[in-house]
Amino acid sequence: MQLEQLVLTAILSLRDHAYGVTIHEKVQELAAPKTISAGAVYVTLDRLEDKGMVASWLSDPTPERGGRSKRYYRLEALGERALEESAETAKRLLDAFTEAWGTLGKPKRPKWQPTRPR
Amino acid sequence: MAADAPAIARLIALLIPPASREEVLGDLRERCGARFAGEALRVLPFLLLSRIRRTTDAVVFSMQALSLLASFVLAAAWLDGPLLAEQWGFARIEIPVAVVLATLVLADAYADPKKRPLLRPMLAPVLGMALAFLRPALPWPVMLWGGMLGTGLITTLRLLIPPLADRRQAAKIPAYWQKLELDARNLAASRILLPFAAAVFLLIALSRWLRSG
Repeated sequence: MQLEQLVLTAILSLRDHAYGVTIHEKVQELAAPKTISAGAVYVTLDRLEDKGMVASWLSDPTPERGGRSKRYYRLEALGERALEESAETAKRLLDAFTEAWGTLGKPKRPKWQPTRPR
Repeated sequence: MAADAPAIARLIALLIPPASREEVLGDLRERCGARFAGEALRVLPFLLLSRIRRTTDAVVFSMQALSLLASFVLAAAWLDGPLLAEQWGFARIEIPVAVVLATLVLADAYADPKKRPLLRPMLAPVLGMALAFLRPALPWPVMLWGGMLGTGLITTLRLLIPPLADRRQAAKIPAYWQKLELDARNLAASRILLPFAAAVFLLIALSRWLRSG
């Protein structure tokens, strides 16, 4: 599910430029420091298309790609809803973290302040 | 950096399933330039597995497996009874079945969705049977009769229920929803699987009875 969220987010943020190469780059950027293989991104895109979350179409061939077309992807209503739900879950998680640790990142532990016997 | 040899580039292009060949080769070219063989080999297993998942229907696959197994068991029961009683008799029968099933799965994965030749339902079973005959695991008469019966049954099945890649797809319907059409209700056990299994068992019982009689 996490990879699906990453791919959906990448498609959402790339808007009209979402195709294999750019989606993979964006997913790498979002998942850093983890590395995600291009193959895993293709599998996820196929799965999302089967679920009706994204739609795809082929563009005209371009010379810089050896005369091959790009397959562009865009979010469908189902994908937008799924992404919205996962964003809400992520926000709840963030709120819980913030409440527990103050700020995200370095947890603020109560400082140990022993009292000296007088 | 030197480009991949044209022969290697062509071979790699052939290994990528035709359904995603165009965009994947373009992406590889954009990402790695003319030297994309290494990256292509890393991506290939993912593409193939994904394509197999999209083109293989579990219900149809089980029906094909059952038909093939029944064909070879029937042929063996009829022509070479002791084979079934051997310690590895059934395991030997499963070898051609596995070869044909693997060929069917790969043939469906590598089918070009833009082309729909009329003979496609027959081509994959015949190819699978030809591969099984390259190194026959069973005596020739059993291979021949079992193979003929199996090819006939599978071709009929594939004509009745075409592989997922060959089914007519209405505009904008995701493949997943189309796959659901074959799910529980349409191919419910009570409607197809049970009568089919009953017919196979009847045939086996009949062949046993004829042989003993």
